[in-house]
Amino acid sequence: MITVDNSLTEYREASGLSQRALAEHVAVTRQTINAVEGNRYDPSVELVFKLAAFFEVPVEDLFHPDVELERTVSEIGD
Amino acid sequence: MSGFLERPSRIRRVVAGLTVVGAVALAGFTVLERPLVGVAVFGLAITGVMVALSRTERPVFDERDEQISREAAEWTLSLLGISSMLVFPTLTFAWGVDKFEWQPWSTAIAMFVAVLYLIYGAFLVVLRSQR
Repeated sequence: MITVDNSLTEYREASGLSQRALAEHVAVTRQTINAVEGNRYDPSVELVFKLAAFFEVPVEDLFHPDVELERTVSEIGD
Repeated sequence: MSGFLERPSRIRRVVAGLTVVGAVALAGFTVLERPLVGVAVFGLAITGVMVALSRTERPVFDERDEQISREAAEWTLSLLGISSMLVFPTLTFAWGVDKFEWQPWSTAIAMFVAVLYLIYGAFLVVLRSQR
């Protein structure tokens, strides 16, 4: 099971936005932003790219796969 | 009223409440042999749902709600499928050894489950052909 952590809370708070305000910018509900920040919901690819575009950062700065996946990918690379 | 319905969370609650009221009224008045009243209340409830959904520009339901709905549908189908695999062969066996008699209600449930899975199978074929 791959889990994906994220830095959404940090980026949102650094931008001085509430969950509601961010939700309106990316056209989802406040509950969805709350669930993503709490790692209770994995957002769609579309929402991931919307959030990255909104904060003007690469996707991987916002969302980080767990250590297990990174290890697997590096093993495949070897 | 418009102030109350500005928040999507409140609209969601209103939509859920009206849908339940409409469905219960339709079923209840039908049982009470007042079908026209049931249909009228159901129609009013659904109109209320439409009005509530039109009160805000903000998304009321989004991708998370869709995912939750998909998961609930998956669980429902799985539960129905597993219970059907146990119940219907058992009933058919019992019928074969004269321990059970198919009644209109049990036949109706069996037919409903069969039609449900036929529809599910048809959607599987169509969606698979598109991807």
